[in-house]
Amino acid sequence: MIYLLLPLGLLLPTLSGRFVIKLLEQNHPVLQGMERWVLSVVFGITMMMFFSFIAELLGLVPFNLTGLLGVQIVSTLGLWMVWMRCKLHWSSPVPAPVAPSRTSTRWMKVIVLLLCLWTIAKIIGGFVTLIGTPIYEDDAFKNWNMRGKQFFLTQELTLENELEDVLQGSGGISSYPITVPLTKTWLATLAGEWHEGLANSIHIVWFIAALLLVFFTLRRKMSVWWALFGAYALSSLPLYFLHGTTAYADVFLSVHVFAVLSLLLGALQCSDSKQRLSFLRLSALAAGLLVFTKNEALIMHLPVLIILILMSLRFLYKSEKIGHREAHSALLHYLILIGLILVPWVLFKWAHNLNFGNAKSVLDLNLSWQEGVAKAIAVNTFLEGNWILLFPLLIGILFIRRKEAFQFPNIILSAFVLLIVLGQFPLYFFTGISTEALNQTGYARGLVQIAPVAITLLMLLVHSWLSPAMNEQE
Amino acid sequence: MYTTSVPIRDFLSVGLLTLLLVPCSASAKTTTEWSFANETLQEGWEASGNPSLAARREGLLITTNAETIFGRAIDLSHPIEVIAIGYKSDDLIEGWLYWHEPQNAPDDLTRLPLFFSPTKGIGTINIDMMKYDTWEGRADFVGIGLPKNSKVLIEDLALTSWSASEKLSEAIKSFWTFDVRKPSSINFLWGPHIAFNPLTREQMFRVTPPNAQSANWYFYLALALVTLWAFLRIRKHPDLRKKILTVVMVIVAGLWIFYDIRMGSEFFDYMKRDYRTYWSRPIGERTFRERSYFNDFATSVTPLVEDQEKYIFIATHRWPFLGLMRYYTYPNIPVDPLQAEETDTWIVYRRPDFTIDARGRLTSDGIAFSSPGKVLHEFEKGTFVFRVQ
Repeated sequence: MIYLLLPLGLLLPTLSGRFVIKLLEQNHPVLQGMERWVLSVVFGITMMMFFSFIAELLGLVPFNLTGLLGVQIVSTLGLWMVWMRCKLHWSSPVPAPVAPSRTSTRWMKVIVLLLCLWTIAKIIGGFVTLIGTPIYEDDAFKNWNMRGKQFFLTQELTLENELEDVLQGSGGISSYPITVPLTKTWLATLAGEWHEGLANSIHIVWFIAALLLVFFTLRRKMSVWWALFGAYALSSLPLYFLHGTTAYADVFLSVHVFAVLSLLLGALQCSDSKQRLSFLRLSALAAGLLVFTKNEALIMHLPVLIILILMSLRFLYKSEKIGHREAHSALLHYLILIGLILVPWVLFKWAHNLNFGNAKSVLDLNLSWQEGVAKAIAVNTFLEGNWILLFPLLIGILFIRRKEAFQFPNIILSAFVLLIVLGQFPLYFFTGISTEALNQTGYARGLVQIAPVAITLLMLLVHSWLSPAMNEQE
Repeated sequence: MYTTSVPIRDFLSVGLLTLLLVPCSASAKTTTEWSFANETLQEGWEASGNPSLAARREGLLITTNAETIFGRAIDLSHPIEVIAIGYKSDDLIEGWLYWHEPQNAPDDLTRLPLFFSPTKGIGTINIDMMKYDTWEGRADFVGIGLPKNSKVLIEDLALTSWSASEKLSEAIKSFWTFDVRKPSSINFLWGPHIAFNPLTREQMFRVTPPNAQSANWYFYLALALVTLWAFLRIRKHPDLRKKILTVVMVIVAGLWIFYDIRMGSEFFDYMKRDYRTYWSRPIGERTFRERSYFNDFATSVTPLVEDQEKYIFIATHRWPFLGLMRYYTYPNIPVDPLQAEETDTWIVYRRPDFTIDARGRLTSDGIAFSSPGKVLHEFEKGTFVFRVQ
């Protein structure tokens, strides 16, 4: 019964997430009903943990039940009141547009339904393993759960250097944003004890959120069955599935990365200018929250995303899909929402001398050729069981459909995947970070973080490639 | 409404192409074996380096005074795919496997390192010769190289090859042979691998990287064949493009789902193991993967250090046990024995070399590490909590 605390613990973050989303959508809702709830959970958790972080930093609350609950109640009530006030001026929302659902053949429906059942069985199995086995993976007991337990026991934002003693074999963990550990602290606080299974249970929420977001993103352009197959494809990636059902934070990060791009893609695909701005505002919120997920988000994903966002706004402006005022407004939203989280977080890091890298600081690297990296990368990407056939198929379809892949709107997905993957190569080939590729640690996790984007891109390109064939058969 | 009508002939064409990959000849597994057990002295075996050879009931005991090659000329009618050596040794011996390929000059022996690990009874080394690119399956001499001052008992030596049908059967079995969940699984999963003989199949996930071929190569081959077929068909019949693309899509989706079923089954196999060794067993009997009973041990000793800000922790390995102890007992911190002056409580995990001497001190190899004290709780020999009095 202790697991009922999971939905209970998500209640206020979800409501506050929903109010923020509604406020950003304004009078022009763009999300599908369930998609809005999924994003509410994802955004709500990260936002609440950020507010709690700020409140603790300002000395307003400790990390105990009163403090954490207080932050959530005040935030939710505040957002609710603002939303109620704004709602008075907004007319009834128009339902978000989705692609018409073509009637599919019976065998296709049967196969997709069987795959859904298989996936549900795997997710249940993964959840049982997640909450029912002792802590196992390194980063879980050194970082994510360790810090959650620390916050729970000390009731404050502990940056204990003692735990990072070289003798203790750990390092750098204090430099990570605290969303994941603080969410665990919040659940433990509700339970009144550090409960391993409850602390881990949150990870399945992020995994399911990733699957649902891929489904809803694809649903904007294709039928239910195709979108379901896309969500299945993501869940079937063995390493992504394993991360989704383990107390690691890469799937959590991948949901935020995907949300930024999915919403930006929505803006580029959208035909209504007001709805386009709604998408852009929501994407700005996702980009801001992304900062408070993992260090990689700040140093690796955000710079690439900012480039893509600027490219997209320029494209929309040049193609006269948005005017000068709209472009200015969208840019301002990105600046404000990213800045609101980025500035305090970076100041906090500087103030406490926390590094910006993942396993190693990125500011202290010597350049020299690293042997064996190319082989390690090739083996992990193509010859192991991590990704099924994702990357060879993606490379193939990017080549076959290169014109479509490298044009708006799909270019934001293809450019993101290529820039993130290829952009890391110099670090692996020429710096000491090569160990992350040679040991298949950081490199594989980098692919986990972009997996939802890669699957969505694959599905969009395959669908558009086969669409003429399907249309002819209608 | 659109309906997809895929001609069965198209599937058959692709299927036939795939069938071409399957070896169709069949003959039996062939083994040539020399057994030295029961004081048997096999003819044709010679030794350089003048070792002492003693025929025993368990096999031939070889004791060397200088570097030695113990081998023989062979003329087999079958290829050699695996060389199996049954042996017994008290110490680790870093030897070699020697062979001579017929096309090479008479003195041009090839060798590869061979480690004889210490054994309790008779152990076996299986050497999969097929994994060496230069190996062509034939040799006219095989031998075992031993360093100076070594002693090993050889029970038998067998040279084996398998028939095409057996290889196919083993390849299918190896595809469905699962790895176990390890700490490294969070970074990579080996995925399906293909071995062509049972010895390699049994060992393939016990070594890093697996000593078998990634099955992904076969998936890529299938993809390449499908692409080639589609390309040729579309060139010949441009009007059938839609049907051909549909066939391609169905086959690719089928390969993906097949791969997923393989990897999903591996995941359920992890669960099955966890159920068998952990979930279904009572505390005290259950073990968790390669960590054995450490998690239950750590949980149960936590109350014993609750009054200690720091305590000393000693285990077989620093990783992962130190980090796990820190996690389990936080805010009570495990420290290194070098910091012994700071605390009076010791937690020892699986270190039978640590004992309590007659004066009640914690000792290892005759060196006292603490003042006299007492064991608060002992789980098994070498696993206990000790506190200085």
